[in-house]
Amino acid sequence: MSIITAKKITKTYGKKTSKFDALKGIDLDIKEGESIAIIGKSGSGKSTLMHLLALLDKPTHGEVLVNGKNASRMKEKQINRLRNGQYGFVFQQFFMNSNDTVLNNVMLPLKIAGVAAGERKKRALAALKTVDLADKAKSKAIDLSGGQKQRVCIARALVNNPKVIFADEPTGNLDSHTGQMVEDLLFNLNKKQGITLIIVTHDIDLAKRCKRQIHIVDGLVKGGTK
Amino acid sequence: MKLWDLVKAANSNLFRNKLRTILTIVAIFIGGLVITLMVSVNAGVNDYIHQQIGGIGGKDTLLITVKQDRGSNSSGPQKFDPNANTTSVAGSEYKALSDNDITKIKTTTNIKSVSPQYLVSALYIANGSAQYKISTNQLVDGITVQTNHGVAPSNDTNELQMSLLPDYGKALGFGSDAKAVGQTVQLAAKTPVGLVKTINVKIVGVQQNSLLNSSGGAWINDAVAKALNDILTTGVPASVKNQYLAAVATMQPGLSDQQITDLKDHLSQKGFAARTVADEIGAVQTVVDAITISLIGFGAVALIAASFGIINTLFMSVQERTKEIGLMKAMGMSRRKVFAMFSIEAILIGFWGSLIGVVAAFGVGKLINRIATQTFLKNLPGFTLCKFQIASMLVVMLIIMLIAFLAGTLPARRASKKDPIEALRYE
Repeated sequence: MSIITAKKITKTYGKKTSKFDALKGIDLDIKEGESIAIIGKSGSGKSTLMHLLALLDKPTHGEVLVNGKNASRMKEKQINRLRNGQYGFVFQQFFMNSNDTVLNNVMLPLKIAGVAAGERKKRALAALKTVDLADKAKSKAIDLSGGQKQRVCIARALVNNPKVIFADEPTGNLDSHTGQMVEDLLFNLNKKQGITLIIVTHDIDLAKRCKRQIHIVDGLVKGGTK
Repeated sequence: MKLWDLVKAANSNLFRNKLRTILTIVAIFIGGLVITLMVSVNAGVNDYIHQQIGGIGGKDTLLITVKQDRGSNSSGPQKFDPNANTTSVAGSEYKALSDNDITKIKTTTNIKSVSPQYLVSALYIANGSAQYKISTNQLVDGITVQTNHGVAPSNDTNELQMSLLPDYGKALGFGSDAKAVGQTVQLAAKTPVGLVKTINVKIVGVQQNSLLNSSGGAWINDAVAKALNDILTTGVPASVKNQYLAAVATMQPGLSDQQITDLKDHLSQKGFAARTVADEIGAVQTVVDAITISLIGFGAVALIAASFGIINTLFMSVQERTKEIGLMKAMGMSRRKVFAMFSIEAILIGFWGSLIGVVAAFGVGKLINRIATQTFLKNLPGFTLCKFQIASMLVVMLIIMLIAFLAGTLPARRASKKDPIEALRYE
């Protein structure tokens, strides 16, 4: 079953003379439980594609279907609920509240969802256990190493039991050893929990571990692979 | 996100940059302190006035005089009216009330009773050979007399009663003020031909000094006033014997405001000026209100200045937390919740500032009260300068929080409009 489908999506920034086409018409169909790598050089439009698939942005033309439903017809509230409940995000820059505890950082999506405090803590601890950092729950985020930070971010992406995890250069800021650990963690989730992985990267080795690679060149899918 | 989570998050965000937040709170605190203090002074003064004049029967009382014409007005000098009943007070001729007028007032609808206010003064007060000067005021129904010892004189009796001013008890040879209660003294007055006559008056109480009789008048009841008047007008023809500067009328109880206004209009047509106790209090209160409200205005200006501090603080905060806002929006936090979070931060600045302001005002007010009762209010027992009422302090806090909220809407709007992609961009 398709979990996300893109139909001829384009994205244009600016107007008239300063017009810039980041995406020029992309078709993509992602099945539940897949692992997909979106590869391309910087400026190729791969991050833009991820933003559109994650409903963080709206395409200029074309449409994104989520579970067969047209996202452009959804209300903002529905989209927010969808992102909060079914999507998880992992970023290259982590984006953590560095002065807050690890536990509080992981709980953030649940807090936004309005989950009760006790339940929140239980689930956040479970997520931290999955990434093997349960003992760091009380530590401040700033005291963690880069690899640990990214694992905390994975725990945060995981805490709401998402169907899809979007990872934007998840290993970009890590050395090869810790990067490997983070990769293993993500693919494990994909295999064991059936979470769909959408990874944006320019790291060929990471891309190869995914079932499918989408090459983006100048706003188009290279070779037209669907 | 649940409301309580939002409040907790907002509060912890607020104190992430402690110094900046505290400085903003201080600005609010100053405004809150000034406003709370002034509100309390206003309450204290008005409360005292009510205490002095209010009384229980006060609201049914009318003070009636003859409408006065001044010597000249805008249309030039006025003709002398030989038939007008006038009396001389402090060098000016005043139109006085006659017995005839009193009857007219008494027969007016909705007037229950009238007691004339005699133009009397006592020559001296004496207990045997000890003679002291004293000024007297005829007791007006509706005025509550605060006493240190004993009770206030009553107009419901034919017994000659008065209350003493503090320190007279000892001077008159009773040993103390307390011991003077129940004793009999003599009040003296001169007949028109210069003969000094005295009447025996019973002391029923010793009154407190108050703002209303700071001129030093001892209260005498109607019976004493009438007896003094009899001495003062001995041998005077009946037609001019009884002249009153004013009369105190009691209205039928339970009249509506409209009925009271009608009654005053009716009396006015008959040539009388009638004022209720509320009118009298109103005049004093207007002055007190004008002073305190203008001072509250200064507090309000301080608050407006402080609200720019809130705007500035929160704009900086929004700027610093761009990525955090972006992340939360990416995770599905709605615009409304982002707006709410920053608005709550603004409200919390208002809350903390006003809370500290109110508490500090409470402390400062207590201190002022202590100093005041030992110095400039020493002679006015029962006068609490700063009076704190929980309700008005809460209202002050709520208003300050509202102002803070309004100031916060600008930065909160900006935060809610942040585009998550822009916010999370890291180049």
